[in-house]
Amino acid sequence: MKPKNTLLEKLEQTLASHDNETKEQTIANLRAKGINTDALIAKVRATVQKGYSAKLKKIVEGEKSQISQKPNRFGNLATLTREAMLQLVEQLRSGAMGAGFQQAVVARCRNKQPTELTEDELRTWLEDLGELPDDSE
Amino acid sequence: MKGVATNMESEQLEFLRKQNWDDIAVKLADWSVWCAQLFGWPGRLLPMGKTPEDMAYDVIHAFWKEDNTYNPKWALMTQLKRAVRRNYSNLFRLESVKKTSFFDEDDPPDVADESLTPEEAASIQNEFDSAIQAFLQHPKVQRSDDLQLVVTAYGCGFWEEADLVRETGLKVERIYQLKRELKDIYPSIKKQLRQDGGSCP
Repeated sequence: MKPKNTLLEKLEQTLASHDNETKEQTIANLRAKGINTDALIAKVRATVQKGYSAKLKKIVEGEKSQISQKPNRFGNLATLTREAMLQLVEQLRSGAMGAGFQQAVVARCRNKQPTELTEDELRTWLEDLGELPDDSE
Repeated sequence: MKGVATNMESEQLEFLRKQNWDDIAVKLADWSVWCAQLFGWPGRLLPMGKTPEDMAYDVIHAFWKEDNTYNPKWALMTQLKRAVRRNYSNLFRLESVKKTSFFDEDDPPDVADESLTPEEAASIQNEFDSAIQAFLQHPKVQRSDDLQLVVTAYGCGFWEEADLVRETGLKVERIYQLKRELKDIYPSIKKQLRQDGGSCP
């Protein structure tokens, strides 16, 4: 087996290393060899911008899905239908699950009825409610 | 745990975004030209109509398109350079660029092999000495005292620029310029070593 990092390879690496050279010097050397550095830089900028946006979007989506799949005291809200969530709200409003929840639901319903909320809004609201201190016991 | 991972992903993404990608593009293109020259470019065209700037760009493009290509254990530039070098090997070996990951556990950065037999160590030294001799016999080097000084310093194992400045008495800017000249000569030296039947790949 050929040993790794022979002296010749070290020489190659040393010759190839221009870490202290300015970008302008490197660009001048590349242009002398017919390399279109302007086009390359423009392509790389576009790729980085696009790649960054895509990766950021993926992270945000992952975080959202992580939150909605997190089971709380009302169960796994991600799997509940809109109807099931509305039934749950009615239970909370009736006080069956404690006065704290009842007050929170009544206060919330002064501004908007649960039936007017979208499925996502309902789920988010129930997630927030699930974080309230439990006074039902 | 997933929350921690996501947080790390965000931090890593921000770290990558903040890098100077103009600078990286230029340095990687410079490295790519060097790799191309070792394969005989520009005398020998690259397969599939590729250019050295394509080879640099392909790696940056794949880096941003794929998942989990960055390993914070190693310097970013080192990982990108290794990917370019690997793509060149694949390009010439298979005449098609294989998709490669940027870091493989079985492909760690170069480290000195501590377990050489005396024969292997002698072979490495001979290969290196032949390269230094070939440099010293090159017409361009023979015409330049400064180039001879730098090649001799390399032959004595002075790799760092500070050492070269001390050993040759030349200014650091001159050393950079001479390194560039030696870099341009090197592909012909490598070709000569190959023709002489050395162990050079």
